[in-house]
Amino acid sequence: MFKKILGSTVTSGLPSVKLLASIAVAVTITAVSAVSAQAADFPSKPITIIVPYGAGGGTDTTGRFLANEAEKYFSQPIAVVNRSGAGGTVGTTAAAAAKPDGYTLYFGASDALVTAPHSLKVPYTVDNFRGIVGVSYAPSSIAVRTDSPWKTLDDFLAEKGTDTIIDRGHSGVGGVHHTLLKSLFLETGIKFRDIPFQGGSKAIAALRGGHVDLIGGTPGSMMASVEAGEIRVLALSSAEQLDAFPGVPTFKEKGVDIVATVEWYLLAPKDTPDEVVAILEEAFMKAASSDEFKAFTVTRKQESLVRNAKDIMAKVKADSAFFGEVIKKK
Amino acid sequence: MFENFLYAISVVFLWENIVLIIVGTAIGMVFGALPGLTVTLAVTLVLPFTFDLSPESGIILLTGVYCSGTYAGSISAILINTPGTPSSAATAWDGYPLTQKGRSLEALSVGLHASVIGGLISAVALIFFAPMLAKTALAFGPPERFALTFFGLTIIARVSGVSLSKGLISALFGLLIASVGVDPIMGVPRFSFNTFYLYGGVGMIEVFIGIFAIAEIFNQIGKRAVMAQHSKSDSQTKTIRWKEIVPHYWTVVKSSVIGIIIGVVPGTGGSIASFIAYDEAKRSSKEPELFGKGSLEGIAAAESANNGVTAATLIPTLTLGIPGNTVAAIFLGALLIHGLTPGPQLFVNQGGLMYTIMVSFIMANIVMYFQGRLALKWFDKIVNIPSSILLPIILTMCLVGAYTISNSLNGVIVALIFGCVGYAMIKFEYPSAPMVIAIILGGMVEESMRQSLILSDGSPMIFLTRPLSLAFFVLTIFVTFSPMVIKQWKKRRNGGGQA
Amino acid sequence: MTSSGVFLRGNVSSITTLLIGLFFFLSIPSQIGISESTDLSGVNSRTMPYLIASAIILLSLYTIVSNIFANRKVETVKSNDEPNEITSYGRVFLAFVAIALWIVIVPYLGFNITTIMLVTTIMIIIGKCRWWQIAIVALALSFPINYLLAAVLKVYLPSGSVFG
Repeated sequence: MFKKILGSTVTSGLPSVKLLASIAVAVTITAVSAVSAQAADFPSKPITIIVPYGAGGGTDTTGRFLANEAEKYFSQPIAVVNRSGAGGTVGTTAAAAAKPDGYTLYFGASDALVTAPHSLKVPYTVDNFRGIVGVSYAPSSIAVRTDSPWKTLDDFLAEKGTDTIIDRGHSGVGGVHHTLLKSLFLETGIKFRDIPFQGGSKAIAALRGGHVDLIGGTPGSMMASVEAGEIRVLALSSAEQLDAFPGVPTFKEKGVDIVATVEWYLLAPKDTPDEVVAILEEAFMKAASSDEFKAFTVTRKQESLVRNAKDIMAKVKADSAFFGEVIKKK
Repeated sequence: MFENFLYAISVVFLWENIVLIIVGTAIGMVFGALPGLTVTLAVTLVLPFTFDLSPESGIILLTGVYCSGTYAGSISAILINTPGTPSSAATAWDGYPLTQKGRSLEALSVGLHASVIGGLISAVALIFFAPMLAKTALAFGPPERFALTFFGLTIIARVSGVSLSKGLISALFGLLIASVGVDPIMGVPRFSFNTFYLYGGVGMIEVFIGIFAIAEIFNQIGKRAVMAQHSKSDSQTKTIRWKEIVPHYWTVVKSSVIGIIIGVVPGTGGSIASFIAYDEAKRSSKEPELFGKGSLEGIAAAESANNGVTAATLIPTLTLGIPGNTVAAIFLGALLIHGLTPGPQLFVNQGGLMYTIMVSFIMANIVMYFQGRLALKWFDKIVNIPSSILLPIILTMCLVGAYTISNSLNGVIVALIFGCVGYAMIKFEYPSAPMVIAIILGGMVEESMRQSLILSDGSPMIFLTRPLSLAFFVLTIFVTFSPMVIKQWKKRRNGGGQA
Repeated sequence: MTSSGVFLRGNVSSITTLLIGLFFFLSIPSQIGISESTDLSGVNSRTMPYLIASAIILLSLYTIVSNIFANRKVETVKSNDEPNEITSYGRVFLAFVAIALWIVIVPYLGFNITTIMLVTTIMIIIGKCRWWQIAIVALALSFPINYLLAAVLKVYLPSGSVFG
């Protein structure tokens, strides 16, 4: 706004007087708008969505698709900005510290927000955010090679008390999948060696190449290898079975009390005003509920589940408490 | 197979697809040539536009961006000593000295030709060897990956220049920089000095912008006497011709094959390929002393290798569903969006699409060649701008690049700090090449080594009992010590003859 | 010149690397925590940093010691080689300060104004350019780049808290 006023003054010949006048006007407008009218004309400038992972990844493409859909409902453009680093914690920190005016939002997945604060010294917790919309989720799962002796989860659980040491791989320390594996092996007491990889696809490659015995990761990312007949998913961490994996049981069905999922959601800094959040929630709910977006999340191997501001925040807080407990157990 | 091939040609030569390739390569060239704007970012920004296209057209557009983006990293490496992509780091070692000697157009010409040939060979390899090579990719577990990256590290000894101890110190600092950030195995932060930004490690591109470009700006500003440092481009070469590349055809073929082999291993990428190819070219060159001071052969090796990676990296992506690098991961996403699941059956069920990918890689490289011929003459004019105007332009590009890579000023601070480090290295004659190699490979070396040792309960024998890993270590020893042995042997023979 | 002066001059870089190596070596216990692990690899988060830092220290010491033995030779070689190139470290320092100030000021004044200031400063430091060249280059590098990046690529450069 200020730039515009300056620009028009410079072209119009009488700089000093007009400039002063416009500065006065601008300052007044800014002051007034800051106090009351924030929500009325929201958004009056471009909205930025911070994605805490690199361009091109699953979370990034989902966030960009959501932003594209939501742009239809705003008069202003939405820019997606990648602030990657340290498993998403760098971008999450930036989002938590952003000005709570609704112009800086956060699109993330569970790892950085609900597990990292329990294992790393990061300057934020889930309490630094408030919800706008939850768009999708994916469970975790464990998988083995097709030629593995463990045909079912029960075969695997039968290793309890034996001397077999299982080489378990996963997508990185402190993430959702690592935490779930930790919880599973703690509960069953099965012996293991823990081999972290940088990213789920490398863990899958290591499993297929026979370098590890078992991996934890999202079942969607394993689909290709499952269809190729190379690996077998033993169990899912969702509450119910998935249509895409017929016959694969959940941990809960088999008597192992592990239910946890990776969620994708749009959040705002904690102090964002209610009226602004209401406007954002309405638009992004519409965007997330559109057929195009739902179809997109399915292609990204996520389970579509749209939650409103209140529900997603409740879910995030519950997840955070759950993961905190598992991580503390060591 | 033949009808699939015909189908692919009929698709790629639809006029709208030709337009897409032209647009895609142009976008890639701009992003690749500007430091800080990466190929990955270009492909990501283009991706949403492919949603409305057919799978074939979408892939064609992405291919254009990918090929020329990888190539164009060499343009800024040669002209302003800043690799636009990490995989062009080796190109800067010889390209920039040539620019300083006024032979920039020759360097650009060799870079373009080598890239195009590397890309073409890689495209052919994709279709003919994909299923076969895919199996090799799976054989690379942690020990094999360690052996490969360790092999890459030993190149340091041979790019150190006059003083081996300075080269080693430079490399050790590179390793130290690579160790900053959250540890890959334990997840504890290292050397963060209570700055949260450093949890994510020191950004690679930011460091390169500092060490290469900002250090060079300081260097130029400090030189009182000679201000017009860049001598004008007045070499005999006025146009871009095939002739330049002909003497290096064997280097180009060899380097392309190195690029393909390394491209197949997921998660290694173009930079290690270009280092290994560069090293091999230097080893077998008739003029190894020119390397690092302005060798056209060095550029040919580095550029054909990193473009040799382009199509090859799609082999594990398409056949196994395991992306070889970040760009391949986006390709994977693009296929998934169109309901195509990668895997061995993709070649059976979607033969037409597979051939379309190959043909579009070939087309992209051809279009890129002609675009490059047109654009390079203009790019080359950059060198003729007086340095009082050029330096502020480069500086602004550096600041913008360092900022946009992570969208924060922290990146700019890192670039400025490493600008000072780089300047000190120039002044005290420490080579920067070893540091760059160490920064790129350091993380991979440590991660794979520790993964291996966890698997073996601490026994280093794991590196020697696995055939592929053992083979790489034997190769490492051979390449490291054979020059010395040959030298000794020649000396002895000559001495014997005289006596 | 005293012998200690010669010694310092010949070894400035090695002494610096030695000190940096020592600094990192000594800071490892405070900078890298050890999380207890169940594996038997014998390698933890501190192993590689310790190895790297020790290697830097040893190599620096080696260079210093070998320099002491070859001291005279080095001196004579240098005096023949250097004089035709004079470096103005003052200008380099000014350029550094200008860039550092850009980083400090950009959050307040925004990309456009700060970049105009930086480019102008750098061009004055380099010299040999006319005022209209400075004006054109400074303007071309600020507003158009900012606008193009935002409009075409949706990449937003910093906008200031005081000026847009």
